Amino acid sequence: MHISEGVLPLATLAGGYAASSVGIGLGLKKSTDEHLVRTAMFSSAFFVTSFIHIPIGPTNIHLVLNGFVGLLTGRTCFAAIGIALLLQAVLFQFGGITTLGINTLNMALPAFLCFLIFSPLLRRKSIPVVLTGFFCGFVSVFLSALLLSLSLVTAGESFIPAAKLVFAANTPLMIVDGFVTALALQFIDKVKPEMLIP
Amino acid sequence: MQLETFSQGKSLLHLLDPRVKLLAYIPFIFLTALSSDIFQVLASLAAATILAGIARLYSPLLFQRLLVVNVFMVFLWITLPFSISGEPLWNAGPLTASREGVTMPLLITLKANAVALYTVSLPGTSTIISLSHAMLHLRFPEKIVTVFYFFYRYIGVIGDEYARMLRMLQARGFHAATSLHTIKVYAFFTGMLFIKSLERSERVYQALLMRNFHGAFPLLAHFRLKRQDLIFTFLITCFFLIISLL
Repeated sequence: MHISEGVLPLATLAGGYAASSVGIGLGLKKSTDEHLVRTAMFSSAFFVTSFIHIPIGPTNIHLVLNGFVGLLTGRTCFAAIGIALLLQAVLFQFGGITTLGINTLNMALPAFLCFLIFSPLLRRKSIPVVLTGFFCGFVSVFLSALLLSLSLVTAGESFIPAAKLVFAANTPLMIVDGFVTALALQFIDKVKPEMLIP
Repeated sequence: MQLETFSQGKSLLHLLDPRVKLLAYIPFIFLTALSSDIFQVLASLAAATILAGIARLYSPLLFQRLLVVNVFMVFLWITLPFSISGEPLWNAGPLTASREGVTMPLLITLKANAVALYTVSLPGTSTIISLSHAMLHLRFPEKIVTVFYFFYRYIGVIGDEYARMLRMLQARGFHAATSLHTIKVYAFFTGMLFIKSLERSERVYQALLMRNFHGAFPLLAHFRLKRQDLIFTFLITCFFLIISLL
């Protein structure tokens, strides 16, 4: 789910940085120190769970879980996702530093939207936790893949087939992430339900 | 977990002030990533190759990392030659690859590799903790650097938790496969990992409160520029000017 260096034009890179900085700034501004520590810790867990690979036939995919992290961190999800991506770029050369802004936006904006939509549902329990979780995982990866493809298209019309291919390659991930988010939320709901009420 | 693979070393680049390296790094990667001139990109790639050589980073591991960088490029190599129209290069059935369509992914591949080499040889040769220290000295917003510091500090701890839980799964004979069972196990695993993270964050916060934490760490140590830092700054600025004027 990363765009690497050297593809996107300056306007997209700058726009991504501007939007992500606003997201991080607004999220952190009103946070208490306790919430900051929690955000950092969830971000570490987010980074570590990206090492989990689920075999799909002959290949495997790694979990993204941005919707799940969005639900748990709330407003500070831009910071939580941004720093994890920064470390991945510096240590493993996944994504990149010039594209850090746009990559953060592509993953954190859907996470934040999922928080706004699904957090009230989770609190009121109007639909089962499993369903909320599935939609949260599915929608967040779906939107991220969509934003990723759209940002590729800003590099020029000739990138449309590549954008479509990238979107299609992410479809299995939407389903797997949906299932994992659903069952993980159900587990938390049983073991530590107070965690789901921010 | 040993994550900072390239930060251990005794080369010239490893000894430099991390502030200088960060300040040199940013203009180079933006210049390279935004360039559309193949000669400029080649010059930049050459400079990056030399830097990685000075840092004595060439090892099988580095090539493995570069391989990862090039995986995304496969998508571009598959699609771009056929979607950019221009002078035909060769035909494959109904599809025609154009010359312009081949130079474009080539340019992007060179750029991505050059930037990856800059990343391992400039910020990559400092430890993450000294880089976040340098970011504070370069007036990055304090709050985000503090969050980053905690995040990095606890990756090791949560990584250990992760490894312990994986061992437990193996001890119970778990094998990952394409099945609902695997997804279920990994979902509960993830849930447990996040619960443990939350509980740890509560304990850490209480410990911080007890030590009178106010949301940021005071800076005690300060960097001092040495002669080698100044020489490096001069040389790298010359390099930058030459490449940007190409």
